[in-house]
Amino acid sequence: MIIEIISLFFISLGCVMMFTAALGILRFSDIYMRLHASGKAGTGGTIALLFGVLIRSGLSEISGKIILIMVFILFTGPITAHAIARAAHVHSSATDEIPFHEVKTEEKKEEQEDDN
Amino acid sequence: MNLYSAISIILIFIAILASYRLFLGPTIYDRLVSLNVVGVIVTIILILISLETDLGLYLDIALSFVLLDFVGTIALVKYLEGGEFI
Repeated sequence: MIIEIISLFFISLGCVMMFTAALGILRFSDIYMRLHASGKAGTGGTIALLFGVLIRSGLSEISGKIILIMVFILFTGPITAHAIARAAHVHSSATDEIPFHEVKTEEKKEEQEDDN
Repeated sequence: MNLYSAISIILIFIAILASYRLFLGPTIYDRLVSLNVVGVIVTIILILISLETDLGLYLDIALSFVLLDFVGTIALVKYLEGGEFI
């Protein structure tokens, strides 16, 4: 009974956090804000949901692989978010309104005008 | 309805909500962020299918899916930065 209540709490927490991540990706206005939403809420929601499922299913040979997937997602989520943020910062043109290639050409034009 | 099926349907709707940026994202990085979240949701759905049907095969598929998702995202990011592969 107590185990079921705890597992339902963690499963619903994970679903709410995944919904928050999806809503943040949908509604935020910048690439860094979207990374802020998905990098923390997505990883944390995944860990919470899989932990609830793990408590509910009990200890068997399946739970070792679930723990392995949890640890792998816990390690690779921040690495992926850092890599995407670094690539976006290198190009430094990830605004919402203007598409990617047009921003780059506009910056080049401004630099050429400054040189002239 | 079983609990795992209900969670899978909720997660499918969340994936549809998150894949808006995958199709209509203004930059390529928005598409990458959305693809990351959708891949994680697909992994959770595979684990839930494995627990529902008592087939351990789906757990191996989920594990290899996570591995290939990570490697593919890192390779794409490194290509976008202009780096060189091996």
